[in-house]
Amino acid sequence: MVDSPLSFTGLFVLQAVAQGHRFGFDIMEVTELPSGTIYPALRRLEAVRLVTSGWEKDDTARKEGRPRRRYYELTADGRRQLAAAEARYRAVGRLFPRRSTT
Amino acid sequence: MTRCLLAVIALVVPAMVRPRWREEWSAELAEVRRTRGHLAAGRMLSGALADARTLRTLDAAQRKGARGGPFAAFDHDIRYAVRGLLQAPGFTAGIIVSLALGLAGTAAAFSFLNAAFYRGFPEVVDQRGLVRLTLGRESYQKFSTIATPYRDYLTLRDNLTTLEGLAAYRDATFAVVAGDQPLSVQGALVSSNYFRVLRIPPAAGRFFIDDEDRTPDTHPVVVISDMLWERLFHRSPSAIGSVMLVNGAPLHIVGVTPPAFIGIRRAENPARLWVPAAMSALTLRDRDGHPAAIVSAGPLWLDLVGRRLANVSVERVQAQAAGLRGSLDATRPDPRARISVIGVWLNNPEGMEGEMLAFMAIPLLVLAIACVNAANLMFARAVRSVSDWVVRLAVGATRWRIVRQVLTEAILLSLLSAAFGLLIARWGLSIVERQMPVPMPIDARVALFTLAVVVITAVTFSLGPAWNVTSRATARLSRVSGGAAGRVRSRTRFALVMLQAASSLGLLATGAQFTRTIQARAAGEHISSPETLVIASINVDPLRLAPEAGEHFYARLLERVRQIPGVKTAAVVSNGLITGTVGRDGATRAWTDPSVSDGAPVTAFSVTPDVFAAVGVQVKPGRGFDAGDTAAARAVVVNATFAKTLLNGQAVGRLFRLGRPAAPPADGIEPGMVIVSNGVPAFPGAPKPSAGNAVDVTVVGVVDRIMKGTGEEPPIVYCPSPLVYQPSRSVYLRLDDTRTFSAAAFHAAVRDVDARVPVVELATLADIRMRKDEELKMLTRAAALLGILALALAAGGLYSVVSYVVSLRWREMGIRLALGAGRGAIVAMILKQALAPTSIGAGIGAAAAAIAGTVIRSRMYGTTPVDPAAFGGATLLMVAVMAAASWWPARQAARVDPVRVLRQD
Repeated sequence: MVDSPLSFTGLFVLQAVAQGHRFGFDIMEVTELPSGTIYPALRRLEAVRLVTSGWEKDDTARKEGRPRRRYYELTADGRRQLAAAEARYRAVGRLFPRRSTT
Repeated sequence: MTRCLLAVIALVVPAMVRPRWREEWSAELAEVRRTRGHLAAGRMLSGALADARTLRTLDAAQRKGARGGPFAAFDHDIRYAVRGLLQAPGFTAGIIVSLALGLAGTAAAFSFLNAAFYRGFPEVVDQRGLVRLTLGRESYQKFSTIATPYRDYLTLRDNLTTLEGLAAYRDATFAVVAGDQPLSVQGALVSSNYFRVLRIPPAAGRFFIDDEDRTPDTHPVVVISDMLWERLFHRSPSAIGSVMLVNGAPLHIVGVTPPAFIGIRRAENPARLWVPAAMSALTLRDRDGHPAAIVSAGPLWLDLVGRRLANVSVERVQAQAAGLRGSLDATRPDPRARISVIGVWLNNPEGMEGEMLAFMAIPLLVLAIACVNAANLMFARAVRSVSDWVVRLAVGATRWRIVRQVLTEAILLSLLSAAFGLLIARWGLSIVERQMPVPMPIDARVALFTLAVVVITAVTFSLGPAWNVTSRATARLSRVSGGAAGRVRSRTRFALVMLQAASSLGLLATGAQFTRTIQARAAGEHISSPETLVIASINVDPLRLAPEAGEHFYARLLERVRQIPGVKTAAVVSNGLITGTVGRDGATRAWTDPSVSDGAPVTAFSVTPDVFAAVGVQVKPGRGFDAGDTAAARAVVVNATFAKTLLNGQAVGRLFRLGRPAAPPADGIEPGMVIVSNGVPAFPGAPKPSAGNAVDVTVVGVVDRIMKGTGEEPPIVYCPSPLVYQPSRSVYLRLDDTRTFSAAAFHAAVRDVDARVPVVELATLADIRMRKDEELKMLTRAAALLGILALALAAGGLYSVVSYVVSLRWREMGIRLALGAGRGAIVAMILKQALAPTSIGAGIGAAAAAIAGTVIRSRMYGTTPVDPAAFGGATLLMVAVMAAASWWPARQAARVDPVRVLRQD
């Protein structure tokens, strides 16, 4: 089940998460891909355990007066896959300028 | 708004993760709304559905992955099967052709049964709700129908509260004149609610209303069939309301029945027009021959059909009807009389299961042969792919998985074959339908049956090979390496080939048996050149002519038809002499010995003088009739049997007395008829001289056999004038060699004499004979066709088996040749091995066919005994075909190049 090859979308999303874009909309913004692509990609990556998700702390959300976000981060496996893919697609790394977030 | 949409889309998300999913999306949407505004949030939401569906798919995949299940990844099987079949077009086509032919036969036979037993009468709505009521008498465990007065029908109709309606009908033949064309039309007198009870909608106009059935002779209306509408009025709407002469009376056409409607009785000539029962004077006669109103006509052969109220069982109707027994004229006086209530069927399937199975046996046998073929092909193919299976098993496939793959392939093949088979069946049925009164569509029941057969077929022909091959693959897996492919000698294969040979020989022999029977039937003909003898039936009964006028009509008709060009001799004869149904004249007695009080039963035919010349039989000794032999002269001619058995061979010049029973009551012949003596004391036991007569006659000649058959002809006496007036007679015309006679000329001749009289039937004797055997001939043709089909299938099967075995023995052949075996010896060896199962099968098949032949003979009149020549011929044919089928691959085997084979090692 695991050996489904990483698609380009998947790679973009993985990259974005690795660079700290941790929730859906943020990933959309940085990859400029539509919501109908980003979310399904996140689901698939989660299903094959390349990313995991967790919830934002209640306090933080309440302080900003919004529902809590779902944050994604790479698993060890995800990092390995990303590294392997980056090795193969050198250019991918240059697609996104590094940027710090919340 | 967005929240609502989100809630709706959330329904797609698997319930387990739904709350989390909604929370995540509301957060995301809030974020977008805050930073980019509502429009962007809306755009964002458009991705939610894709997201939800992804979750669902992942969830489903996970579940399947977790359980696996016996049908996991079934689509893979199908794709794999399709690819495999496309890669082996020869194999695919072979199986499909075999199975399609087998399935076509089975589906066609089932459609026939379906139409005959289950579909019911065309156009009748909800036939299950209908019941047939019959008044009858129970005696010796046999139910015999008794005639029903119309009044009893009315009593039943008014008192059976368990019925929604009860209708009565009575068949009759009508003479119809529309334009200048007199026609004899089968029809019925019906109660006004007849069509209502059957729930038939009119195709045009209306059906009868109750008023039209209340008072005798006041409502001259008629409903015609679609066929009459087409034939007489070319479906013009103006036909409704126009007038048609029926039995001489002008009737208004009020409605037309739907095209397929044939009434609710199975008949060769279904009803084409319907008249209200109150108009019964058109056809009914009382004892004195006067037109009769149906209510006062006495007991009649009436058919009663009712429709049950919803939720009322047949048994309840039966119980209520039994309670009415005492109030009916027909049943009251007779303690054994009762009223039977049964469902309405085209043919009652109850108790017919055996016959139906027997009928299905032959097509199913052909299908079995096709299955064996398919199994052989599957087997050969599966064995070749054993190494594939070994790999699959090695990487963890289960045995079931492999069996499933083969099954999938088989079902796919069967479905394709069924599609082709149904097309072939439809085509075949369309040919048969032309000779059948009811349509035989491929309806849901037929389709379902075919589908069931397909599944059984697929399992039958694939499971064996699949299991066999997987066990072989498993065995090979454990041995790591081993003998490749299939065994050269396989008991299964031997048995399969044997089975095929047996079934195809059985079918061939049965076909041959039927053919012999047909030939034997044709042999009973005693009349030469039947193609130049024209027989026409005429019936003036509908015209209500007085006997004198009737006699006059026939005398004039005889004069007139003699003048038709192409006619050599003409005669008018009472019905049934040649065509076999003996009319009312049949119940005559002859007293050749005055000391015997009860005369001998003989058959009397009234004939005009030229009859023997027209028929073409010899009168010897003595003479035939001449013009002087009128009724007064009392001269008769007897047949050889009469002369031998009743006159001790000394016939010419002998005097005897001929008597007749009283004219039977208006409706049918009842038991206990009286012989009327006209007061002649020599005939005791003849109480009432009310009708009929007895005369002393002199024999002037003895004539050869005329009636068809191989047994003894019954004693027949030919009289120059009828003993009683017969409104219906046959005209015999012997044609000359000029071939100028035409049916139109005959119709014109009849019209010249009386334009109201229709010709009921007009055909040469050859045609009549042919039509009579049509059913048997069709059966014969079907059996022969199926036999040949089975032979072709079996030959194809043997060919593929032998080819396969030869391909397995490639090396062996090479070695044999290298060691010095002759090519002829190789061919002979393979032929011998191929024909061994065939011959054993032939033996079994012949035995089975002999048994079947004996059974058929016991059930079917006039079948010849099991015929060794037919069997020998069939066996020889089969062995020859089978030898030819295996010769080709045998020759291929003998052509193996030993050098190449040895080099491969």
